[in-house]
Amino acid sequence: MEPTSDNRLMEEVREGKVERLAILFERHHVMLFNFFLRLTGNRSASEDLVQDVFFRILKYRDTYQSQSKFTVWMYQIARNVHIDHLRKQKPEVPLDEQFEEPAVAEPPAIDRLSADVDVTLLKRALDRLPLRKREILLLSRFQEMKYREIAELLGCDIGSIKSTIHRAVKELGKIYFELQGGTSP
Amino acid sequence: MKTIIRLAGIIVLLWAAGLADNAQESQADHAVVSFTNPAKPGTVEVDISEGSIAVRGYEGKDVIIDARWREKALTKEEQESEAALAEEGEELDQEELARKKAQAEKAKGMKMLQIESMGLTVEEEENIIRVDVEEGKRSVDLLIQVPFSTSLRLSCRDDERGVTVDRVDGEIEVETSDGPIILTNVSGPVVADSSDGEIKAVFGKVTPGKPMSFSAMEGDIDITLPFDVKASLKMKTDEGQIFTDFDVQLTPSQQKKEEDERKEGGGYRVSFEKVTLSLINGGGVEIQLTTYEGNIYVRKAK
Amino acid sequence: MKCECEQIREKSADYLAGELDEKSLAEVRAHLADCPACREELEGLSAIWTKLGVLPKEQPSGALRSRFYEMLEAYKKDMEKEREKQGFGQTLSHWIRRLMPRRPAYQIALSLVLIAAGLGSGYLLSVRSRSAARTEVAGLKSEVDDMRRIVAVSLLKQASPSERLMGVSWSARIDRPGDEIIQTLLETLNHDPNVNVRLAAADALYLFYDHPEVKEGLIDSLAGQTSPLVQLSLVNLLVEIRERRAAGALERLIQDEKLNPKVKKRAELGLVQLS
Repeated sequence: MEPTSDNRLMEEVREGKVERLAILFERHHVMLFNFFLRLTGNRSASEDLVQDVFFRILKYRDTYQSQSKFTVWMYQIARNVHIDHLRKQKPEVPLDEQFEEPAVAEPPAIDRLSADVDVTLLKRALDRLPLRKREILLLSRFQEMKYREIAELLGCDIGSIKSTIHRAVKELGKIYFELQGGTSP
Repeated sequence: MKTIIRLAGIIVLLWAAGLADNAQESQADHAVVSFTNPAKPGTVEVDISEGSIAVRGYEGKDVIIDARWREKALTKEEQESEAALAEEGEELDQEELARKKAQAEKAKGMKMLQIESMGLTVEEEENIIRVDVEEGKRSVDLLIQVPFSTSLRLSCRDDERGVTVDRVDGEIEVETSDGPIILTNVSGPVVADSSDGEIKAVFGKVTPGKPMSFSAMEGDIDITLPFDVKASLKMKTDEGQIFTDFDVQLTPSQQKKEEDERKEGGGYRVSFEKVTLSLINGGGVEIQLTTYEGNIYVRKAK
Repeated sequence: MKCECEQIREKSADYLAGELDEKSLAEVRAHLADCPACREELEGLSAIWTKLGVLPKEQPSGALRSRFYEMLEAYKKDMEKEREKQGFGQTLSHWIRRLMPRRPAYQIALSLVLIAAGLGSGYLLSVRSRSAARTEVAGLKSEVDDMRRIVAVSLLKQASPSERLMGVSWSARIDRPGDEIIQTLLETLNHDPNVNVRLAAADALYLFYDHPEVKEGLIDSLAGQTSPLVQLSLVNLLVEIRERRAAGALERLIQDEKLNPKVKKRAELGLVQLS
């Protein structure tokens, strides 16, 4: 049996069958959580943001246009939720200090150490990437979005998305290398 | 993308005559398979009837499969038919015998290579890698190395050696009939069933929100959870007993008898009839443990 | 050459995402073979792109899910209330708007009067609306049930056994399961490839044993089960709900020559308990 498409489900939510949102939640909440986690580095804030996205989906369900893909619309909302979150935050706290993921706190098994170090370094490198580059990189690498969809989501042309990806990966590599080599900025 | 690899018995060649005499040397197959989309966690599926499966997580993105074929012990019927053939052999005419002898002379100091497929097939489709062994072939011991985040579906019947998994963070579904299931450094969710073997699982951490279930007919179930895990356990045993060193909060379930008593060594011995519901650290991920005769051990990681 | 390097740079994003068609891929490869600078750059980009794959997918805590469902249930309740009010509320607010004086001071005064009147009439109204409220609560309950039903059925169809277990536990939380859930649970009990999921389905069905189809379903299921644990679990359940009609099924089970001896022992004991 073919599962009901995201767009169809969201249309049903718009028409008043709001319980259908449960299926969309089950399909997308883990991805969204990871998106926010990579942006904020904070688990409990990320859970709040996911909750906020689904709350806004309900609140603005009337405004959903079925011609665009549901996930594009959802990530548009997610970006707004994140921007509002940043506004509310005190600006002087650098991302590094909010880092409260358990990767470091939890004692890792010895033979797994090198993989864990890698993960930690990569997370830190990502954190240092400027927000726009980080967002675009996350959307394409982890959220399974096509460049075309990211362009639609951000309201710009696909060429600029592709060149941002190119620059973002290059910059990330540079930061990662610096963190690894100990010549930390 | 769909890739199928049929391993046509890649054979360990033994050039030295001395080594060739060592008939115990088993043949090995080796394959490296990539997932269609290595960025997404893949799944490895293995279903074998005779043999063992060992899976290890490693820092890489390909799946590396090593198969070692066991020298199959002949069944009684096969032994009888071999014996019958040998008797027949004595009646072979002289000409035939001479021809065989000449052949043997030619191949002196060498080993016959089996060139037909050993029956191992590896298939990749949409990020699922399937490993199959043809029924009725020799027993095989598989060692499979996978990226840490891979999910596993493993099934192993009719063999005493069972399944071992180490350092895999994906979802694990495993069943055996005779052999044990030994999982170490996993994070679940795990769904495991063994009819006659025991189940042992040591969790490094527990994936929240994903229910798990373990069931065994005759063997014990022994799981080790992190000390701060939030879990709701549902335990059921007909003839076995339940042991734990966690401070559990018991919720009485439908008409079940309970009794607690202090065991030597400070641990709690808790024994019940049938279903026991208990909460660890206030409750959380649902874990069901079911045995018939075996005991249930729920340990706190040290 | 310069111009070509520029083109490669433009294609690198598609190259990384694996989105290049065969022709473009061949072009990129051809250029890389000749141009060490581009080769080095693209190799560097690929390496870091691949490396990002080691970042694990993190799981949110279970609290996220329960908070979401609480919110959804609350939203649903509000919607229902809005709908009920509409008929009466629209005319009332229309009437108030027409009555409302233009000057704010009088507005407040009139509001106070209306509130006082509301308290009085509220008492009178409450007598009449109590039965309506009762049906509303029942309606709400069924809405919540509806939602759980949808979640349960969709989870029970997933490939992951852990998700199917979650589906079973969602079903167990439904107050009035209805035929769809009973059918889906029976189907899970009879056909789910995983023993653990079948065991959980049997336990969930036990909660609904007063549903007419459940007893029949449990009895019929016994013949088709192959796992001794599931057989034992069913025998236990049938004995526990004192289902006399199960005796025939137990007798047939005992006659099966391939039956696990322990199951046989339990079934024989069950027959005695049921008689």
